[in-house]
Amino acid sequence: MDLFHNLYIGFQTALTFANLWYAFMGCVLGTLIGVLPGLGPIATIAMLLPTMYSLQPTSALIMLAGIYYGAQYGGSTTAILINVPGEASSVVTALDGYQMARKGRAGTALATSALGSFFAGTVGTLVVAAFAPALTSLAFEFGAPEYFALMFLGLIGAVVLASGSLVKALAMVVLGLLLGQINTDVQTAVPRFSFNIPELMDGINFVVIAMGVFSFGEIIANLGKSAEHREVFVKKVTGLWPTKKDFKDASPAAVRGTLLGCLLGVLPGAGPMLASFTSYAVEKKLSKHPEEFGKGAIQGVAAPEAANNAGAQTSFIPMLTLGIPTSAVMALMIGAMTIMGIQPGPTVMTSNPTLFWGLICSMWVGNFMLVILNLPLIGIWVKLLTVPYRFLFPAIMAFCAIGVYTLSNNTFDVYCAAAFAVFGFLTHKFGFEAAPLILGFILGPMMEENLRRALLMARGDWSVFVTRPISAVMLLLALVMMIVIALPSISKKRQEAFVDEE
Amino acid sequence: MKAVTSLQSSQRRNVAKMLLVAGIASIGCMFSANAADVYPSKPITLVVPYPAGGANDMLGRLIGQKMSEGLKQQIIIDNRPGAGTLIGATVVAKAPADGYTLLVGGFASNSVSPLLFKAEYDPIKDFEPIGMFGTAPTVLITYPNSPYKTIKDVVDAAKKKPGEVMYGSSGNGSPLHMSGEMFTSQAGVNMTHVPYKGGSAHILDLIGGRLDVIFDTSTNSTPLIKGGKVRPIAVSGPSRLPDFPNVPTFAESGYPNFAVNGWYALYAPAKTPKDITNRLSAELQKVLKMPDVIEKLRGVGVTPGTGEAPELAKYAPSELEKYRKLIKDANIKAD
Repeated sequence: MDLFHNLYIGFQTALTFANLWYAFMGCVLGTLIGVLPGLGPIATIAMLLPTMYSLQPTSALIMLAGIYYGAQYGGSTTAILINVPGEASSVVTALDGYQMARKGRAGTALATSALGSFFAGTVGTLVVAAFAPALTSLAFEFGAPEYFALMFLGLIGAVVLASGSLVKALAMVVLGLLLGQINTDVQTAVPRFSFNIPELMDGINFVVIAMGVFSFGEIIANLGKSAEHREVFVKKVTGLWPTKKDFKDASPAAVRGTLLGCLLGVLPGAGPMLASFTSYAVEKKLSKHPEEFGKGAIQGVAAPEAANNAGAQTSFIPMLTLGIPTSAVMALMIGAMTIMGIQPGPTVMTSNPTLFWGLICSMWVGNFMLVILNLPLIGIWVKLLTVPYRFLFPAIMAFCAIGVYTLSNNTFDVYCAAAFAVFGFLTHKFGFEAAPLILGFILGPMMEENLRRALLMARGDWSVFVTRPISAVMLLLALVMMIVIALPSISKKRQEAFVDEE
Repeated sequence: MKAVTSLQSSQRRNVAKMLLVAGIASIGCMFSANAADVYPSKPITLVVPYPAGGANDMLGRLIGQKMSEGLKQQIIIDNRPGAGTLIGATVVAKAPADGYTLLVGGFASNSVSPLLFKAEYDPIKDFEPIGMFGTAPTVLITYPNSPYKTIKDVVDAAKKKPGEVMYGSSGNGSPLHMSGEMFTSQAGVNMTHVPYKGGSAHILDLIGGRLDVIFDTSTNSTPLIKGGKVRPIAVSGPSRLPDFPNVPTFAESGYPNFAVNGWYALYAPAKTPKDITNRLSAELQKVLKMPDVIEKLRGVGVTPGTGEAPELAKYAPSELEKYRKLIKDANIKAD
């Protein structure tokens, strides 16, 4: 068996003492950086690159990959503990994870996230090893019409993310779409709504909005409460470990999330993020108690975390088989390979099999280490919540500000985040939820780009969206979803799905 | 274990260094007046006007690392992405002219972007040339089983069905787009330009056969060609590329005036003392003669430059004029 032979070569490389050490170092660093709100893997890897040049290429790549996963793990930790989603895919985790933490179940949420991610990572690694070429062709099947249809479906699904008012959720989606219009028009290179501010020409960074609306807004709201209400963030922390019932609830969700993540992760650009959003929406639809979502449902943590992590694994596929980076982190890794004298591209698999398979196997090793590393740490993270709020919130603010600055080494982003903090506070007060806003903001520009490209390439023929099977099916699904939401005759079902508060 | 501890300490040092840089980068500029004596007496900041990752960043890091060994001084890469390189280039244009803030400039920051967008700097007058360290020729590529074997095939198809042959680019104003505009105007054909927002989606669409061709920069397409994922049709430049001796040049194919290529150069702010730029240029020239640097540059499809300042001083204005005319003729405009 080729696969077993390849995995054998891979583990031989990944399990040497030095490489285990580098994987471990990467995971530790990644986790630490990920836990510092806002500091993402890109800033970390860029910082560490100079020290990597002296390493063996395989070891360096293993370490970089470790940082990448570690940062993702750490990012979920902050999303759950303090409602700071460091990247798009952990926005969903924050929805129910943070609510679990507020109820004193932070330990359970963190353990669920860690175990779900490990399971997804294991499956994801196997999928990468066994089906990389097959999944690459899936990426080829996706042209502009397919991307548009997928994102349209995602946008319709965005209202499902809301646990409160449907109208308010729609308003936030639309506002997100409008904010997403601040950028440079891709067809004509005309800056839109940038008011001659160069920083606005590339649009507002997603992290700026997420930080402002999610974390800063929440902090202001907390400070608005009387002192005795907020002084200790969480009074009682119960059960660090998930109960039997938790396992029963979370496992199927994690499996479904993994599946979705493996598939969607291959798509460049939006893969892992869409996977986590979609899996959340699916769980809410399938659940017998959709009203619990947004109030601390364990499935709402397990599914997106699994999807996110599986997607993170399979998003390596286009890079490994084609040498095409699907994210900024991967572009950095390819750059590092080049400087170390390895020519990236489709030839790596054959010209450098130990590196290729060593990297794949180290993905699993890295995931394993992260579980080992994170489960004992949960106790410490949870203790963090019992720190008096007057110490906790300035620390969060400071780290967030540093994190926002490192996005593009520009203070403009920090000011922007401050503006969104005020906005976030207002939306918090008036009961508008942030998740639909974020989804609209991220999907809007991508949708527009793909819609216009699809029409340009089809010479303005709108039928391209229904004559291509993948896009037609997704648009049909979106239509069905809209009907379910809109039709008054099944509004009872809608009540169930969205738990309208009005 | 020895290797391990040294790694740890070097990392710790590095993290500490970065924190220092992040924290007091702005204060650092204020102290520059004190740093008299021998240049360079403190770390040099090399501004890369792109996000980390990608060809520009990688080339900046490679050159920066090698030059710092020769200068015996740390060179810190500062990624200042945004606004089609305008943000990063503005930072350097307005930095003190003391040789401690340098720019990885080139095609976008010093020729096309200031023509398309409102720039707060003059792409020529606000910079002191240090030297060009590489050029990346244009490679016309197509998907492996496409019907286009030669440039003539592409031109014939475009003549037969005007506007139906599609070429992708990484964005409006990218070298890929400029190449397309220059080629269609010289060949007198009409092809449809399909712009993407950076990234790699245009390559996937080409391999998937949804686009017909891409006038790609060699930095992107060299690994793909070697892996057999795309097929080269022609290359720009005066001679064939050593990596692909069987691929004809545009000139051989009847388009002698087709010349679009990415270029990468080192700049200091205008009025930087000559002895400093000369020192930097001398170091750059030394780096560009190192066999491992040449090999790495060639590996990613970059033809190493000479690193000589007078050459860059002549080259950049000619590029600016070339694209000013092309953009005017093709009626490309941003605002």
